[in-house]
Amino acid sequence: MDLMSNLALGFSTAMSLQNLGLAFIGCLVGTLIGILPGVGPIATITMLLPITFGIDPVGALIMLAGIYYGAQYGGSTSAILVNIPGEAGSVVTALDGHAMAKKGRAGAALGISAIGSFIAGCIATVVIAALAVPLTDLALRFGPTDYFALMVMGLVFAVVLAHGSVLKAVAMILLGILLSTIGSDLETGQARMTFGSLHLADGIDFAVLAMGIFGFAEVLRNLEGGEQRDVIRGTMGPLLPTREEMRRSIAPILRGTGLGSVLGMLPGNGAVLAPFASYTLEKKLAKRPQDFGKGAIEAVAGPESANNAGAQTSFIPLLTLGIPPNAVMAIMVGAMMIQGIVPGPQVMTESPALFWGMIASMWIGNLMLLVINLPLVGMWVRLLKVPYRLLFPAILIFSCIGIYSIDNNPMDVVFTGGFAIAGYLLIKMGFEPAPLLLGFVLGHLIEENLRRAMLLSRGELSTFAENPLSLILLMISVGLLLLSALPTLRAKREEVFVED
Amino acid sequence: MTDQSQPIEGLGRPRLSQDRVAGLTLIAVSAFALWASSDLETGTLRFIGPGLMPRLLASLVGVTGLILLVLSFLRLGEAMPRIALRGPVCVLAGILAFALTVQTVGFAIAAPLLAMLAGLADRDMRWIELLGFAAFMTVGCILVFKVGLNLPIPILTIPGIIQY
Amino acid sequence: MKINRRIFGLMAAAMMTALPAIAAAEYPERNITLVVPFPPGGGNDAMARIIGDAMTRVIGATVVVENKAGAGGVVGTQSVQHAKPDGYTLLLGHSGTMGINPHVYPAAAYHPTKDFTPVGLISEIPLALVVNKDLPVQDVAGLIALAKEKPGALSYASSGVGTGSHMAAELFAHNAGIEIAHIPYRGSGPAMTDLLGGRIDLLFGVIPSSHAQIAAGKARALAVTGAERSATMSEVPTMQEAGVEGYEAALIYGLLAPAGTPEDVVAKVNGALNTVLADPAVQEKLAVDGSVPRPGTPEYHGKALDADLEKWGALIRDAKIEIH
Repeated sequence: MDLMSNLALGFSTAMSLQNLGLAFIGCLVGTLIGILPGVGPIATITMLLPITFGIDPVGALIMLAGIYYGAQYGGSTSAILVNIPGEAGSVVTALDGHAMAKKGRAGAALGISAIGSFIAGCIATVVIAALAVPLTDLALRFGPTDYFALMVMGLVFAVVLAHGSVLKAVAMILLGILLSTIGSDLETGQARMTFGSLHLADGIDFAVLAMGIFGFAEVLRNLEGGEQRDVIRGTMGPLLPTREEMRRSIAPILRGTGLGSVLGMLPGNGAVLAPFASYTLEKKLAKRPQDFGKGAIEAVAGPESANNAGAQTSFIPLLTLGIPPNAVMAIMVGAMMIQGIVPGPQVMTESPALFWGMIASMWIGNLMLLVINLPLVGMWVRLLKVPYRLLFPAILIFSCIGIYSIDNNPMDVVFTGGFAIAGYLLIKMGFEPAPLLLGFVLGHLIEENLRRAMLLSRGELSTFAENPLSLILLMISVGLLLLSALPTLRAKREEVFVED
Repeated sequence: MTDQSQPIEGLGRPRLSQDRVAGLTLIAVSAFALWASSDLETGTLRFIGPGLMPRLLASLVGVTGLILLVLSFLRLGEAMPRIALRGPVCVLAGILAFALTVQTVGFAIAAPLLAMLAGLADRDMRWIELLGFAAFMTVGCILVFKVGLNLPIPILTIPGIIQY
Repeated sequence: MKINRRIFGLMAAAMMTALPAIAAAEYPERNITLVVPFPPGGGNDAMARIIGDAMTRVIGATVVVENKAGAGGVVGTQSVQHAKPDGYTLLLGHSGTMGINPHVYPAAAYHPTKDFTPVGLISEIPLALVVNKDLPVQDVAGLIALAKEKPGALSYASSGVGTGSHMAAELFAHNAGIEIAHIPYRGSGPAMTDLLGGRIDLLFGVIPSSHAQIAAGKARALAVTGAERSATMSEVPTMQEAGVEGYEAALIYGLLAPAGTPEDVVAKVNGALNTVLADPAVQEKLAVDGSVPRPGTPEYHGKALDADLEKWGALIRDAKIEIH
């Protein structure tokens, strides 16, 4: 069979001693940088890109892919341990992952995210190998109207993400989108709400916002907690996930993998929605949805798997079309060009060793992550036993190095400080930061796709209804919104009655 | 948050509604954003201008704020929890000190400065322990990130003497 | 002359590695920073790293690429404008930052030859006019006829306002006297996605990556925008051959230093750059982005910069392109 011989070629390429070594170093170094709070895959790859220049093309790309997976896993680790997500996907992991850490189950959260990611990685690799080519043309049918509808659906997920007041969650989503509009306007180049600052011209960096409003605000809140604030309170359970936890996680992992694989292959950065979609799905299916947000293992297993599957299948548009679906893949394109490879549909036929070698190395990279990280889980968990009076200065130092290194710009550090105060006050007012971050991430995509759809349809709003896909997606969004709003409304009424 | 529902001290009022503060804050943010985006064009349905989304969102934020404000009068919600000063001030001072010194003097000074200033936030702080820990962290970070991973962080700059 | 310089470079390199403490009195006595005003991983970054890496071996000092991204290249460009004019800070400049931005962004308050010292032209990047594979036209004349028949009905994608792909298309519309709708994207990848998906009719793209789509039968090229045909797609006519008179749009890339950089330093860097550009291995690497090397004197670079600034300024004025 063709697929088998191709995979054999891929594995023989990726299994060379040099390439195995490069994949290992990539995963290790990627994990180390990615674990810096606030430093996600994009920043990590950007920082480490130069070290791959001296290597041959296949080796360099294998190493970069390793760095990518490593950074992603490192990002989840810091999200779980100190509640600082480095990328959009880890926001969801931070919610229940960190709550698990507080209950003394950090090891289980780290373990299930490693295991879930590995399973997702294995399945996604097969998906890429078998279906990349036929699915590419299907994915191309997705246009701006469909992306707009998809991202609107994503916003509805954000409501589900919140466990407090729906109204406050909606306010945070709107505020997040509002923040995303700061910076140069894509269509006119006009500076929006930048107050003449060049620093704001490119908008607010996700890491800066997330670290301030999520991580630092959490530090500030812990500081007032007296003896209660040490991350691990009381005794710790077994280090790794228990059999029972594994059993509860397996279905979420598989569902997350499915969602992530499908969303990841959309060339318009669909992968960004994967963890949110998985969280929403798991919360809807859960027997005890009230545990979500308080450390439910399903809420870590599902989204982490979805994230990793999406990360992996987002290679599909790059490999089959030469088109990068997101910022990480855009850097991959740059790396290919420095190596003298023109990304495009021809890579598959002209450099099969590179193409299939990379696919094989994805699987190897995921295996290495498991090998590197499971033994490290104990070390990370032990870090949490450091008394908080020392742990929080350490978190601050690591975070500041991370934020500074993203652009070598101290202004980013200042902005993070500002967002920390804002985040602290928002928490005091009963707002949750997660919906704000999701709104922020999806804001660009929503606005740009809406405006593009309007330009392309020459101003006809009916374009959304004429397009069956976007119509269905929008209808699902409305349905989901009603579903999540109704119980709250009913609860509110009861509350009013009680108070009467 | 229910466990912290003590009133804000010194406001002369026994209880400040959380929703009321939240609503007023949102309205203030909305007004500010409307002002900041007032120079942008709204455009037409075909050529949606750069101002449409910011103004639409700012207005919606204002509307949610208004609803929260109204609700705060209709029902007895949670009270505004106490807001600490020591933590935010010390941590912010540490972050700003880091930002000011990292590029001019270098990480070797910025990191201990951050650790010491922020460390003040904690009542349990012990000077000697914190100093030692800051030194350990700084050296460790330099070894891992500068020596090991070659990140371009200036470590110590004294004009004319050392630049690393 | 060139050989002497190369020998000197090798000698200097040997000295630098053997005895780092003894600094040579002559430039360069320490690392040279090459500022790229864009993030790592893009075409600009790739070019800077290829050139920087090759120049390190020639000039006798390490050329360190530093990415200073922000505000469409304005941040990095300005940082070099205000750097010490000693030859240790260089800038990778191109048509976008040097020829177009000063007309487009109020923040880009600099002049390419008054506020900078041109060091040497690196290359030109011509583009290709690429159309959707199902668009019912076979050549540029057919495209113009179709656009005239249905004014404003055709859409073109660009990789952002004020980018080369935007300007090249506007110049085409202006010279051909047609009306086509501009749909801006965040980068060339998403733009190409919608062309392949059939929602966009045409775009101006970099030749090698466009060629990759064309070779796979997913798009077609009608013309190239340079003065000469491209070696990559030699069967495709130039715009002028295709009947669009006076049309030429190629993005120029070059090295610049802050204004007031000493002439002997400029000459030395220029010499090293030209040596590097003559190297077939470097040429081959640059070709990935469609770069056609254009080695020359600093004066040649200065004239090219001035002409580029004038050309795009005239287009923005005459075609009344609305950019804020």
